[in-house]
Formats: sequence, C-alpha cells, structure tokens
Amino acid sequence: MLAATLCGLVIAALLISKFGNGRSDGDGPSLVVYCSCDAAIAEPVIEKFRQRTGISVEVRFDEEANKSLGLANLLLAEKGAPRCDVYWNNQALGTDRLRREGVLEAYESPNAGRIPAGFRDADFYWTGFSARLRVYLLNTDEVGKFDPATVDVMLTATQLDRVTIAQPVFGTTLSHYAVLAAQTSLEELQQWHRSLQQRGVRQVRGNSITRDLVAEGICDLGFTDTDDAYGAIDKGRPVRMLPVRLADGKTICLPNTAALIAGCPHPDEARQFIDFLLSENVELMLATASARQIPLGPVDESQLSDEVRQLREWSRDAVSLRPAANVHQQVLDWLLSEYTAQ
Amino acid sequence: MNNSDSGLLWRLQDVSLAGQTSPRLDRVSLTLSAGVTAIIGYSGAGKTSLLNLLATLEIPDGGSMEASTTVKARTGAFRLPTYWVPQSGGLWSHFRAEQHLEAVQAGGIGQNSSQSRESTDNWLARFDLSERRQAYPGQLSRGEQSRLSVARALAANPAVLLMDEPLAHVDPVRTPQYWRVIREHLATTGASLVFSTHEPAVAIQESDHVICLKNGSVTATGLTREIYHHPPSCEVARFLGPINWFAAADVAVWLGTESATAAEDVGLRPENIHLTDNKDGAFEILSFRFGGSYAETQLKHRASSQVRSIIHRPAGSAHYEGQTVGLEVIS
Amino acid sequence: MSHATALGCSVLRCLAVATVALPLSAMLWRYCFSSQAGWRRRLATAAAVAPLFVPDLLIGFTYRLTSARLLHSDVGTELLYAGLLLLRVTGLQVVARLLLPVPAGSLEAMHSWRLLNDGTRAWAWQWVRLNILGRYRAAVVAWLAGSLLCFQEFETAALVQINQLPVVWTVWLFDAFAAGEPLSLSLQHVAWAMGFQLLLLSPALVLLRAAGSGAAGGLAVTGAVDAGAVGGRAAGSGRSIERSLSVLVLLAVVTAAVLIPVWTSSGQIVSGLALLWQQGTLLSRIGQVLQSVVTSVLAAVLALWICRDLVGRGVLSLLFLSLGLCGSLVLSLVMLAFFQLPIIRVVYDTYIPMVATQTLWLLPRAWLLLMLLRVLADSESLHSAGLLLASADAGVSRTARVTLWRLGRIRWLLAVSLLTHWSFWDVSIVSLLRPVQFEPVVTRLYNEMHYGRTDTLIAMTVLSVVMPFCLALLAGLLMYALPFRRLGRSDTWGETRE
Repeated sequence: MLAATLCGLVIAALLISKFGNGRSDGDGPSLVVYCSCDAAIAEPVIEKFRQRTGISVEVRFDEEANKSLGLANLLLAEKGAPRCDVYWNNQALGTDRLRREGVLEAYESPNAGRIPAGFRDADFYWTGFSARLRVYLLNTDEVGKFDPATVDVMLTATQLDRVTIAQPVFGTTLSHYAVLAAQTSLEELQQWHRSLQQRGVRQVRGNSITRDLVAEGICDLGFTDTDDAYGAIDKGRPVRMLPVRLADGKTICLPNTAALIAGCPHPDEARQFIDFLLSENVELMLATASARQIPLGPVDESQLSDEVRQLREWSRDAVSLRPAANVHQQVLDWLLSEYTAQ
Repeated sequence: MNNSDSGLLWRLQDVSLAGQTSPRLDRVSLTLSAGVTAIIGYSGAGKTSLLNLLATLEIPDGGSMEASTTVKARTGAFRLPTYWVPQSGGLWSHFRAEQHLEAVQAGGIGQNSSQSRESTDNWLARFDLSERRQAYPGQLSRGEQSRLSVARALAANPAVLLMDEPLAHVDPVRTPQYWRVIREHLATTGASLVFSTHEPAVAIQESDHVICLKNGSVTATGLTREIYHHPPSCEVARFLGPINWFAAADVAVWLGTESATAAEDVGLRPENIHLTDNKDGAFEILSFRFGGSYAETQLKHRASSQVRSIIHRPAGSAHYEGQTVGLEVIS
Repeated sequence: MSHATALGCSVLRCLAVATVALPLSAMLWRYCFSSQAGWRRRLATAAAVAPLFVPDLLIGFTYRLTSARLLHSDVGTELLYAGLLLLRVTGLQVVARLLLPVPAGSLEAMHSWRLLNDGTRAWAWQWVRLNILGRYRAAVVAWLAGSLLCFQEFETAALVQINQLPVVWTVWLFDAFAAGEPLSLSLQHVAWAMGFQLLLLSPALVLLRAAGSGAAGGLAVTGAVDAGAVGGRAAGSGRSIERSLSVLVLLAVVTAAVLIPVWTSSGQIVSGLALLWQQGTLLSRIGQVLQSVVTSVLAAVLALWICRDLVGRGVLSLLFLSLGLCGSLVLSLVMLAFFQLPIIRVVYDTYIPMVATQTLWLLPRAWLLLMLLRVLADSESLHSAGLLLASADAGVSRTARVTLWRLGRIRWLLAVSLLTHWSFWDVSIVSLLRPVQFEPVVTRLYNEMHYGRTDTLIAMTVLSVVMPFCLALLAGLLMYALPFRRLGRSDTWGETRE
C-alpha cells in the first residue's frame, strides 16, 4: 500500500512537473534565468525572447517574501556548480556583490554601449537597464505642499514618528545608504541614521510597507521606489512622489542588471538573452508596464508616457553607482552589527 | 479442510506466534470442533493470542492453520462465518449503544427493518442496556461495555463466536443470567463458541471441550468432563477447579493401600472425598475451614505424623480440631 | 537587538500564549463533548480547529494593515501577533484534548496515593508525577504542543512584523543571515532554540507514549470517558454561563481566523479568477497548485513512513528530529550546503533536495501525529468492523466499510493532510531547494503579494485552499472505495497495532 502510494506520488510529480507550469520544453537548450524582477512584468519579456529565438527559458523568480533569502544568496551557494545562466537583478549593488564574490563572468554586450557608463560595471560584469528612482512618497491628505522644501522641513523636525523608511539591511534602501556613504562617509551616514532613529522614524520591513503606511495615512512621508509608489497611485490613494535628491542635487537611480554567470551551462544562449534585455525594445516594454521603469538608453520617446518622461528627466541627474558599489560591503557590515547587536 | 471433517472448525499444526521476548504461541498443534470450547490457562499463557489467530486479527509466524468452510464463508442461516468479542470490547467510539446492534443486523445502521429494530430492543433488554441505548461507549461502564460487546456478537449471528474473557467486568451476581442468554442463542442457532476464561466454574459449566495453555504451548486438550475427572497433571486439574493431588509415593499413606494399585499420581476433586467421623480413623484434624460448597481441612496422618490439606465436601455436621476421622474416596 | 533578547521574547511569548490558550481550549473541549447532538459537536469541533488550516499567508496578508495601524503602539502590535497565535494554539490544544484518552482509573490512582500521604518530599514529587501522567496528561501535552507551534512560527511573524516588533527569533535569524551572517554562526544561534524545543518535545513524547500504554488496557474512546465527569463539574447556572462563553469564543475564533480573511478578500476572488482567465494562466496556475500538492503529499507520507521506522531508535530518532527542529530556514541552508558537496551535487537540481528537506522539517510534527495515531489506534474495534465485511447483507458490509474508513483510514488521511498543509505553505524550503523547472504556488503568491497584485493573489490563494481541500475529499472517497484488506502480520485494516 505504502509502496504503491509512494510510486503513485512520484509518477504524479513527474507528470505534473512536465505539464504543470504550462511551459513547453521544446527540443532546444533550456536557458536558466534567475529573475528578481516582478514576475508579472518579466514574464512577457521572457516570452518575447522565447518567440524570437526559439530558445526555451526556465525562469526562477524571487519570492520577494520577507522570509525569502533571495536569489543572490542562492547564486552564492551554487557558485561551485551553477545551474543558472543569467541573473536578472532589480538592483545593481546586489549584483556587484556577486562580482566581488566571483560568481559573475564579464560580458560586453553589443547593446551595452547604449547604456550610460554610470549604470554598468567598468569591466562589464554587469550592465544596467530600465531603472527605478528612490522617491519620497507624501500623503496628500496630511501634507499641504509637495516641494523639496516641505520635505526638508519634515525631515529636520524633532519628531519623525510620522516618517517611515524601510530597514536598510535589504533591498533598495541598502543601496540608498551605500550611495549616501559614498557621497559623504560611513561616519556621516551613521550619524544621520542614528539621528533618524533618535527622532523616532518608523523603520519597517520593506518599501511596499512604507508605501502602504503613507497611502493609509498612518505616516505622512515615506522613502520608497517609483514602482512601489505607482502601486498606490494606480489604486487612487492620496499620495504624490518627489525624487530623493542628495546634497549635490543628484537623484538615486537604481537599474535592473543583466549578468552572465561564470561557468554557466548555456553561455551562448545566455549572451543572446543579455543582448535582448539590453535592447531598446525591452526598455520600452518595461517603461510601458505598470511599474513604469525608466529607460536608460536611447529609445523612441514618443512611445513613453508623460509620467515616464518625467521620471526619465529626473534620472538624468542620477548619481553614479560605482562609488556606492565600493562601500556597499562596509555599509552592510556596519548594519549587520547594528541590527543584530553582534 | 471441508465440512465433511465431522464438525471440525480449525486445525492448527505447529503454529507459532512471535512475541517481544519469547513466543506467544510455540508450535501449537490442535483441532477445534463445533460446539463450545473453553481456552484456559494462566495470564500470559497465550489464550488471547490463540483467539486473535482464530479471529484473523493476527497471522501466524510459522506452522499451518486450516479453517473449515464454516469459518471461511457464510453458511446456512448464519449472517457471518465468525464474529468476536475482544477483551477490550472492540466497540466503536462514534456509535451509540443501539447503533452497535443496528450495525450488525440486516440493513445496517439506519436501514433496519422493523424486525431488526425489534431484535435490537430485545438484545438491549436481555443484556440490561435498554436505558443506556443512547450512550456512547465512553459513557458506559466497563461492565456495560462488556455486555454490549457480547450482545453485538450475538446479534451479528455468526456461525462461530470467539470471545476473549466475555463478561469479565460484569458483576458476578448477574453473570449467570447473561451466560444463559449466550447458551440459549447457541442452542437456537446451532452456532459454535470458542472462549477464554479464568473462571473454572464457567469453563466447566459452559464448554464441551477445553484447551489448556501454558507459556504458549498446549498442555492438555479434550472433553471438558474428561479433563475435569481425569486431568493429566495437577496444573491442568487446577484450571478446572480445586483438586487434591496425591503424588504416587503418598497415595498409600493418604488413600490407603487399595488405592495404590498403580504407581501413578492420583487427583481427586472435593466431591470425591468424604471425611468420616471415626474414632479409629487414621487422621486427626488440625484445622478446619468451611468454604461453602467445599471445605479445606488440615489433616495429620497419625501413624506417620505427615500433614497436608484436603479439600472435600463439607460433612453434614461441622468438623472440629482434634477430631479423629477417616478418609473415604467416592467414585 | 541581540539574539538572546529575540530568543527570550519568543520563549516568553510562546509560554504565555500556550498558557492563556489552555483554559480556552479546555472550555471549548468541554463544550464539544457536552454537546449530545452530533451536528453541534462536529460544528463546534470544526470551528475550534479551523484556524489550524487557514494559511499563514492569508492571515498575515489580512492583518498586515491592522498591524500597520498599530505602528505607534508597541503593546498593540505584540497583542495582535499574540492574538493571531492564540487562535491557532487554541485549535491545536482542542485537537490534542479531543484525541488523547484520559487514562482509565487515574482518579482512583490519585486517591490511592493521597491516602499514603506522609508529608515527605518524595511523596509530593510522586503526587505531581501522578497528576501529570494521569488527569492532566492531555492538558500538559496540549500545552507543550501549543508552545512548540508558537515558538516555531515564522510566516505570520514575518508578515505582520511591520517595524522591529514583535520580536521573534525566527525573523531575527533570517535578518541576520540575509545581512551576511555566516551559516556557522546561524547554526550556533539556532542551537539554543533547538535546545528549548527539545525541552518541550521530550516530555510531550514521553507523555504520548504513556498515553499509548494507558489506552491499551481499555477502550480508546478519545476523551469521552472524562467528558461526563468534566461536564458534570460545572453544574447549573455556571454550566450555562460556560456554554454561552464557549459559543462566544468559537464565534470570535471563526470570525478572526476565517470570516474576516474571507470577507476582506471576497470581492477580489471573482475578479482575480477572471483576470487569470483573461491572462490565459488559470490552467497553468491550477497545474502549479497540483504540483505543489503532490510534492507536499510526498514529503508528508515520507515523514510518517520514516517516523514509523524511527520509533524506538533512541539516539537516531533524536538526531532526525533535531534536524527538523532547526526550523525550515536553517535546515534549508544546511541542506543547500549539503547538496553542493561534489558527490551529492548530481541530484541538486532535482526534486530530491526539496522533498528530502521538507520531509526532515516535518519529522517532529509527523512524530507527534504518529504518536497520537497510535494512541487512537484500537485494532480490536477496527477488526470488529472488519469481520462484518464478510456479511452477505449489503447494509451490514456497508456499515462495516464506513466504520473501518472512519476509524482507520480517515485518521491517516487527516494526519497526511495536516502535514501536507504545513509543507505546502512553507516558503523557505522551496525557495532555496526547488528544482529550477518547478515553481511552487506559494513562492508565486509571495511574489504577487510583494508587488501588490491583490486580485490574482487572492484568486490563487483561493485555488490553493480549495484545490487541496477537494483533493483531500477525493482521496477520502478513494480510500473508501479501495478494498479493505490486511496489510501484514501485525497490521490490520490499515492500522498499526500496538
């Protein structure tokens, strides 16, 4: 009975794994892509690549769950025998950590030239495309004016219990911190961070919660990303956004990255996929999706919405990420000791 | 094995059943016939294990076990080939008392005919469970659970009933009346019964055949009356009630030379011994204890000064310490 | 915040919640068993147990905004999380009390000991032991099991933890590792948590074993023996107040754990399903759910199977159970490292690492369930029904089948279903160890939740709840249809004999 049950389950697992995801394996090689981007946005892009090249693609999306460790950790664990060919990450500094760990292989795509130098690795271990901006999200029911001066006043107040920011240990807030450290120094960043804490800033687990707190009127001001901000705007919540600007007026623009995995099983197909991701077509597809990702290279502007054109305008002031990449690990080490009291 | 084997139910040949430290049944060979068979023995002798095998709850680890068509398939007017009463009762925790009886009768639960419903009422009444018909097993006392389990087995109307210490938790005053119900059922339906018991009186009164077990082995088997009167050993004899067992060497002293014709042990039941008031008797009473249907007396052989207890029928007048008596053997 | 603080908070919370749940579960249990009407008993039991089967993701998602609104109140946040845990722990404790038989004669045993009171410490110690092993055994096991469930909790904590409150060791461990803490250090941290869990698990196992031997002597009638006595304690007006209170608590439990999550998402169920249909992904999502169910069932069956073999193997069984007590995150990390070893790496990108890890993670829970099943397994009751299968009367043999099915197979199905449910909704293991061609539905759900795709999230959650439920029903029917036969020398009618 038990043996029969187990056999049945194994056969069922095999059958369902064959048909369950609704993907056809085809006869060609199966490219394996790890993708940290929103699955609903990435899937049409990958489908287009499949149609265009006939290469079948197995995608592994990030859960983005609070309790998921993410694909970067998985790539590190698999470093000895990678099964992944391409890593499509949605934040550049996380990818740069993989470069330092020796997980990536340099690849200069023919399409890399269309991306500004500040958004790609100097040695082409990764190349950025379609970006998000760090923004302030303001609740329009609670805040009267929507200009940088108002934000400055709010951030210099003695009490920040109606201001929210994600814990900087993960995600784009960590990138934000790294940029700040690169602009000034780690000590100044630490001072600023402690000042926020002392004044009671609400530190939460992720940008989507920051957005929800502002959208629900629980906080007046939050640090978040453009794609999260549009999640509230599209639902008609009373919010508006302004770009986060550094002391020198620069904005923080965080691109997606495409990177080739060192020793990957399908390097040729992987390069084709990277070329595809860095193309104008893909940047336009991502710009017209709900997240309104900002094209970094030249594209047909007429196909962009006013909103994206505005974002693109802001992104022209973007700070280079290379200095931030250099201090990224120092910032992370400090935050680890700060948050785990070790 | 088939029905032509003159009422044989099972034939066991070298049947073994493993236990944790020692075998629960060790190369048991026996036959079980139609009628009423009692399985007797000390606790741990293997009575429950043997019944479990017959009830197919367990499968032997060795040997062969043949069952007649009577116990393999439904025959005649019987609704089942076999049914059982396990020691725990084997009741179903989610059924009420009356549902236990409905479940085993024509139609099953909720589908009984008026005849079956009447039968259910009848079984409940005969086992004094009418007022507890709505109770779940957990709400019944141990005695009520025992009675319900027996009632269920009888209502199931099998060709062979297997009962492991039935009515063990029932008050002794009422036990005979329930045994009467079982007896009547067997007589009416012609069903057979195999049961285990610790009570010699029940084994003697209710069974035609007896199987004695010790440490997983059969020590005696045969007609109950035969074993009662002519037990092969003192130990077997005691399973069926009190016995005076005289070693061959003591026979001459206690029973006189006439009884010592064979150089064998002699076993005498209390009803076979009568103490007579005799001034010239060979024995002196050291102590006397009245026990209802029999008495236990400590005797001293005056000539040899040997002392032993004798269990015997009480005389019409009470014996007393210091009395000189004779010992009479009644056939 | 240090690891010790997080661990201390978690220990205090789990003990507090399990303790608060104890009188609640006792009251609900009494209510369930004092109900003579079968339907009321079944309804009350189902209501009490329902929170155990509501996915953490749905609970967390439903109460995320509530938690956000409590951002400015530390006490409020803690109470919300503890309240959500309380729903589940109470349900578990009711199950434990319903299933564990009260040892026959325990009151007599207590009185026999009371008569020997000589005022010595030895007497008092034995008195406590007798209480724990006797009349309070079910309560103690329920308390220990509730504490364990509470302590291991991760998903709801991760979802309702808006800022750094509530402080939970599982989340702390995750944060530390995600921020770069080496695995060796994580293992050191988890050792303390494992030690605490072993402290809870060991007495529970001992008591369950004792429960087994206690039941063997009498009828395993699942607590009903004591129900009359317990029901009888609260008499008259006191009893009616308790009954009213029980109804109120049950209503509150069902409202918080079932009705509110369903109500808040009901509007999006249809639109979500329609959206999936429009996108042409409905069938592939159904396939995804099926695939997840099959792999989870495989892990659940394997866990029960291994536990059957582990029973009575002292150190070996403790070793296997300890692995499961690490929690799904640390266990996954260890297994990930293990399957990267050169010799084993060949099976890395297959289902084996994922299913093996899910199985190991389920082992402690499977062990507890197996112990419960053994306590409940009354092979003589089952055989009494099995013998009726030979009846020529269709009604009698049908009744026999239903009885065998209900007292035997359904219990195993419930155990497998519960383990499957836990495995199905755990995201840590599948996110690290699944083969690349397999996307479990739970990872997709987290992805959808993160990006705020509420409609499809709700629709997929409904599919993930309804489909396994329907499959369990189907399996139940199939188990009824399959012939009942003996399984082996010491097995009868699919039940393991003690």
